[in-house]
Amino acid sequence: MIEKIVVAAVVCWINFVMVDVLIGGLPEVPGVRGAKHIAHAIRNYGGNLNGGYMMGNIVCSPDASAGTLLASSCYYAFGSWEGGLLAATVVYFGNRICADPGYAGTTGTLTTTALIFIFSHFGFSPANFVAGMVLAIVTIQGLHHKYSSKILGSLARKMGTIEG
Amino acid sequence: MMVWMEYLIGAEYLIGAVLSVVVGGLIGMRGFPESKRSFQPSALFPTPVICLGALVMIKMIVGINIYISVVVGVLTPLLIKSHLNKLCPVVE
Amino acid sequence: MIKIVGALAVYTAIMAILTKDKPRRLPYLNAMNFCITGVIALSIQHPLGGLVALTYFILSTLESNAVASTMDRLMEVK
Repeated sequence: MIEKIVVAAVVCWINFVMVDVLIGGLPEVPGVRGAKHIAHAIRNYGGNLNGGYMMGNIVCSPDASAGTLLASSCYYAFGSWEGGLLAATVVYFGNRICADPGYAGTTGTLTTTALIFIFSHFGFSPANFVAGMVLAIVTIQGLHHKYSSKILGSLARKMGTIEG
Repeated sequence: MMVWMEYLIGAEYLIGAVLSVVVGGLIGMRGFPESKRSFQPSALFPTPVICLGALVMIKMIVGINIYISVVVGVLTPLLIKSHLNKLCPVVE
Repeated sequence: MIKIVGALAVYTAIMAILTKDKPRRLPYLNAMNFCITGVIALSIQHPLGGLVALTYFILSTLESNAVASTMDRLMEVK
């Protein structure tokens, strides 16, 4: 069981970071005022400003990270892939309420639904993905803000969405 | 008359999604979104997602068939074009 | 599996209390909300349990958005 959770955590981490950086463009600008405030606090602590923008945007609106968690929990609750579609609609409206266009959240939800549908043929349960996504978000937001923001900033620079 | 319809059972979600994109293009929404940060709804981005979510909610309550998915696929782009930006805040 | 998620929730809550910097508490609180959503979703396997998880997470995000922008505005006033 533990190895399934670890594999699911790696898959979820790659999925939500790629969607957030490439489609949402979260490390480029702070979407709302609160994200800028959190990013400056993280920079004063010693981290990277662009990684701080991304962490502040994750806090302030339900992006692809929330989409990954909610798609896997609704897949588990419904017992089929229809839960992922319902989660996509609700995540879209949640994004719009939080003054965000909502491209990253909806795309992340749909890609996670497809990934769980593929992995369910190899013996993975959606419950593994719920626990794996919680593990993945704790490594970003909960362990050490200095190093995680530096990792996110360097990843965004390597993918070419920010310059410098 | 009903023989060809039996092939479509089980494809209600596909019919709804395709029909919502087509109707959204016909009533004059733009096809692709302008940029990563534009709030204007387009035919390809929020329309099929909202149509599929509405179909799942209807299936939870009363169940779906092909007629319901056709009606939802036609009504969703109309409602999105007229009411979505009044319902949710738009930041310039 | 639910015990792992619950243990992570307790860890993030303790870290949120121990952190002195006020804006940096919000990422810990956000991670705690993720954990609680996971606990809610894993404890009931029923479509209504999924709806409860969706509602809890969207509204908690809205609340942290409001808290963060209020902090920014208070800083501007000072």
